[in-house]
Amino acid sequence: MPKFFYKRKLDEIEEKARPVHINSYRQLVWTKFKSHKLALFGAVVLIGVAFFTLLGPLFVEVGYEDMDFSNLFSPPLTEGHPFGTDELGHDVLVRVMYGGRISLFVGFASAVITTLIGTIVGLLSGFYGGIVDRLLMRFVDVMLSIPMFPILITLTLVFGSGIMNIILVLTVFGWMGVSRLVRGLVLSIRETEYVMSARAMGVRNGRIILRHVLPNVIPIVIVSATLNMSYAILAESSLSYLGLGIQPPMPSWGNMLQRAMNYILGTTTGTNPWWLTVFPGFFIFITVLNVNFLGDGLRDALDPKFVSES
Amino acid sequence: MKVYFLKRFLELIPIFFAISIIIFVIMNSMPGDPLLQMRMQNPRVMTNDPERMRELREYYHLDDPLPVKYFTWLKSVLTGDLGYSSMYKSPVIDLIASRLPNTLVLTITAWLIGLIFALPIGIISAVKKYSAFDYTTTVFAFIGISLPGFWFALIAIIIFSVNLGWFPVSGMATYGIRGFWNIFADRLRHLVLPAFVLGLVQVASWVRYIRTSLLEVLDQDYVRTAYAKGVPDRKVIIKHALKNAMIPIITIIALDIPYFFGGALIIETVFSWPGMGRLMYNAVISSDYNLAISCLMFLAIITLISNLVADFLYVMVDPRIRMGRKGA
Amino acid sequence: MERILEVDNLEISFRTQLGKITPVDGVSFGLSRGETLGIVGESGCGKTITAFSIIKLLPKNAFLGDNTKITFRGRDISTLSSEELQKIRGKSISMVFQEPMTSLNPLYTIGWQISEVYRLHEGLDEDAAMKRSIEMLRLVGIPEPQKRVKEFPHQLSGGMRQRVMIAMALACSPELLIADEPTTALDVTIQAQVLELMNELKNKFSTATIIITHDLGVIAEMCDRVLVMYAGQIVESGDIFDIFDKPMHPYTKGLINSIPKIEISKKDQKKLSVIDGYVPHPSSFPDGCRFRPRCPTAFEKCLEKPPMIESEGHHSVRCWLFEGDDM
Repeated sequence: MPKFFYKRKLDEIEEKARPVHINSYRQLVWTKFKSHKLALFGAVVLIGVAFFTLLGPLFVEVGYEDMDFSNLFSPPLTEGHPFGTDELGHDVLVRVMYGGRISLFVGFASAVITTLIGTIVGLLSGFYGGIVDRLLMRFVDVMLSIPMFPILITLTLVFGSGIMNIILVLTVFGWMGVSRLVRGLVLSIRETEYVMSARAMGVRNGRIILRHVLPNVIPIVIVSATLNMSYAILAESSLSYLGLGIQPPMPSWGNMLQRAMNYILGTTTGTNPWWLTVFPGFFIFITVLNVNFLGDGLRDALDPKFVSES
Repeated sequence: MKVYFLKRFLELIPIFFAISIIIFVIMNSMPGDPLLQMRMQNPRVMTNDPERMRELREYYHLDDPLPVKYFTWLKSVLTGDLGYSSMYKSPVIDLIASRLPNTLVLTITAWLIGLIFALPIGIISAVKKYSAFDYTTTVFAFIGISLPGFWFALIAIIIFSVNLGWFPVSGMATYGIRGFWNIFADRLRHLVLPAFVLGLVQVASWVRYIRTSLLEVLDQDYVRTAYAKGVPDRKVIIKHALKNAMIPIITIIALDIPYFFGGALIIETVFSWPGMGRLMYNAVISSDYNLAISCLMFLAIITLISNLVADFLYVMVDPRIRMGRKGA
Repeated sequence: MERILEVDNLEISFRTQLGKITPVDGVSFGLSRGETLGIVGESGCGKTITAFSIIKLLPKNAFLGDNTKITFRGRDISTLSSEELQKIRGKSISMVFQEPMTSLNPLYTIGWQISEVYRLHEGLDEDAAMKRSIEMLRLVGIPEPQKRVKEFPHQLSGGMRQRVMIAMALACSPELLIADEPTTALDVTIQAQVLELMNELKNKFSTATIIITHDLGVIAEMCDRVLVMYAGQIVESGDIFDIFDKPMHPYTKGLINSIPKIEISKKDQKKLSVIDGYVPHPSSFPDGCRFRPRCPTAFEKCLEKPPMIESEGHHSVRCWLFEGDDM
């Protein structure tokens, strides 16, 4: 008795037909994403943070380097300084906005670039296999075995710690995870029947990758891009804590926090300027947290495996 | 099985050399002329005589082409000579030997703390999926992975050392304490805060990982078979599910060992813990070339060893690989 | 004959992100000692979860309807505590699953996995349990059982693994065996062997058996009675001869006509007849008769829900075409 004697035909029909309520994958993803409260919340907060940092500076006249010498260490809600001022009379609100631009840019840019590199390497390695795969994956092994943080420190010393250099350093040592993930997925996609049949029909490799493999890899790539972004924001702040991140007077959330650390046990005058720590720390936390929420929601929404789970 | 490990071990050798080349090249592009550094630190070398400078450069092989330099360095390393630290004025090997135990104590304690917290929490939140406990740990795990480690460390210092006064603010030991048990207690008091901070930072991501792995296994057909056989729930989870879930879990836990050394770099800085991390940081910052490169290589070797350990544990649990057949 | 299982008005629903769905609705059937019942239908018609619901092996987000009653040997399954349920599972009711490749735990020897049943249900110690396991393996036709018990699942072929699953299921001579697509994942020649083995053993132990399959060949080989399921409902039920010789429901006819015949002469090589369309998703079952959109003989009346109409003997069908045929 042949297996699936009528199932074969059925699959053909099923491919053309679509269930009534679930009109498309995209719609299903959106339905599931909407029902993921945390992810929705994350998206809203992130849009809020983005507006705050991008448009905020347009509404204030003070620049991030302007000092108000009559107000050093003013607590929040001092006139003209809603978030207070720091040891040099910089307005903390303004610096948080400008710093956010830089932190978000560093995070976003390095997430995009690492994901891009990782995806390309993973696609090539998984799809072509053989010697290409072995060489690339050994290279990944090598890169992963290099102690990341000390090397980041060294590289920022070598290249200097401008924005572009920080991004460069974070991307050079950040793409390996994505490439492994993508490779694993491509290996299994490569064996699927639709890729096999595309090959049998003589479709060129490049076209198979673009048409059949890439679309299936995209969900996981998007999710890991969000994780990379949260990692990059945290890494920048850690580098800044060691004095190696974005250099003052240009603000970033990381270096604001680092300078605030000098006063965390109180200043010589006896005040404890907690606002210097709380505001940039809060923004790092809120941003990274919501990027993670968003990533989690996307993971659930994009993965077809979880359809029937509540 | 022996063959498998021999093969895995041999595979590590080219990786080791590749790492050494990359690290060597990066370190050699560090700014700062080693000779100028030496001159600044040691007045006896203070000279402006171009002839003497040239001799010194030759003596230290400073102008050799990079490949030559690499092989000179490799030869001395392989013969056990790690060179001399220009900053600490002592052989690199002695410095590492004196700092390494401190770092090991910190990282191993932190690793164990991470494990003790992450395993039960991860297991319970997978088994009681979507329960109040699961939601609570999920929220805390998200908060955990969204905080910079140093920030967490500083908050811990403010709360537990400054305000409550339970633990010392920094350092590893108090001077002038006598008696074995007093010293032991003192060391322990110093260790608690940095070890907990370093360990708990890892707990968040481990909990998520353990939860996912176990949930995936609980979804497997053989778990359903166990239920259908009438195996009690607790036994299904421990004997059938957990043993299978342990394969990816121990792999990740072993593979994360190097992250503890990396994380130790920050934590040691915050807590002024005299370990490898700070040693390395100082070496890199002050262009102490020999010391920095040795520390980096040392960490790379630890990474490779953790890979091997992960492999070993993996094979111990999984009969498919133990019996010399990959996959199923 | 003694009735051992009675399923009455089975309704299974799931809470999902897309809302509540009810993939099985109003299914009733019973089973006597030693009888073999086949449940047949396309994938997605609800036959597997129907079987799983009998020993409550459903996912956590599943729940049964208020009027559902499952009685096994006079006891209402839904009122049992999980301890009581564990005593029934594997001892009185056991299961064989579709995928022998993944249904055995890869980290334990097959001997360990079979003897676990004896240790749990008969309280045997390890040695005694292992001895019984070896006997059982011999019974299911595994050569050199003393050696095989020490092997891991990955060392066995698919057919061998399914034999192990059968050995495990029959270890405590259960009164009811539920086999979910027991041969689907196997090669054709192995399929025949496994079916023969099951036939032999179920007669030997006089086990009542439920076989779930989409393969009418398996049904023909094994079953006394057949339920044809479509979109979560029984559309036709009857004994095996009724179903194959006098199919009534258009869906059953479609299933039977879509079996390829082994024919060689040119004129008989006509196109296979197929049922057009697909099984609807439980979130969007059509109103009235659920088969209506695919039915070649649908008419106006089909917009109303058809009742189960009893024909001669125990042959009944859910189709308006047979309204008034009641006898």
